[in-house]
Amino acid sequence: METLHTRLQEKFPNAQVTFANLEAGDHYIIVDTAHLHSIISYLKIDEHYTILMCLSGAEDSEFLQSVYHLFSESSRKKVTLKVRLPKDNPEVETIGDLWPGAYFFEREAYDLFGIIYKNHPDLRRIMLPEDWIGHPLRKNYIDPIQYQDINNERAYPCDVPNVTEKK
Amino acid sequence: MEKRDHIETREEYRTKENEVQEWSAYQKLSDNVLFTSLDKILNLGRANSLWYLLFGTACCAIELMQTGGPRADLDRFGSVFRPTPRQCDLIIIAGTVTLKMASRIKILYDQMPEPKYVISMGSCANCGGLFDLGYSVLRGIDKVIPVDVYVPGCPPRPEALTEGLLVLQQKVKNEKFLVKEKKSI
Ligand code: SF4
Repeated sequence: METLHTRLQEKFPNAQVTFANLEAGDHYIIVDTAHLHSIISYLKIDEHYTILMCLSGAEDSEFLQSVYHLFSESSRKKVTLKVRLPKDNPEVETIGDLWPGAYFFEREAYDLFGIIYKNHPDLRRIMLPEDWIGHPLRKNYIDPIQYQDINNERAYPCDVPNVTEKK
Repeated sequence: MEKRDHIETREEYRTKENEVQEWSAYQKLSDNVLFTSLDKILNLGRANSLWYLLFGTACCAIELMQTGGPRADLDRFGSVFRPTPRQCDLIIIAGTVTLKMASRIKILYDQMPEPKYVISMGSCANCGGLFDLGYSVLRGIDKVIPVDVYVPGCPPRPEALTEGLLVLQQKVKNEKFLVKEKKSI
């Protein structure tokens, strides 16, 4: 992956492309938000990373992240790309024009992390109901007690009357 | 000692005896009239034909299928599943209920004709169970619709659900629809 990283740096001299070498787990490349779409389309068309295995969201202490896992059938290699997005305005270009299936992953990341994918034709919630407030996998999310007209509060331990009392 | 011309097995002997008894009971009762209250006979019919909705929300539904299957065989209590709420007397909430699903369950419940009953099956439907700290999980179906019988377990065995149904039958048999409730002044 390091050679791929150097190639990317040569190809996109203006973009910030950093390589994170981990002791354990997959190595990954952090790319510039502005150049993400062109880098991924370069990887797909010129480097033959033809399969989008997974697109997910993540959050660390400073940034929201959108994570892309690509796989190349011809060279049998995987590559993980990450973009770092500021928490107050997480916007990144959609890659649904390269893989239409990505639209659904992006809707999920939008639903649970609130990452906005620009140029997405239909950026709605995919799993939670439309009128849900907030994005539940964010670290500062507080679980709702009231949803519509349902009060979802329950005292613990349950204060159920003792119905099984022996006569 | 009395001599028999052939030896019967015990089972054969018993069935013969039963047949004779049943026949004589039939003969005795055929010319008679039985008195019962209308409430009781209606409730008897109602209790022994509790049709439930073919509906499950999570893993408990697998156990619900087992209960309807040949081994536990809910059919022998007159309980069969119906695919539409309009033909059902009973809804068994089998599984985790999310907040999104809760409003849908309310609609299903509203579509059922009166009198209608609810069995809450499993810890999840009772109080949220395993997933009760999840942001999207309803903490007990009784927050949305009234529940008649709670069946504990994760998941409850088919025997437990059958027991739940029998308890519900008892409840149905003791109801009085035709008598006006006395108003307490
Ligand atoms: S009570 Fe247990 S088996 Fe039933 S839905 Fe919940 S987790 Fe699944």
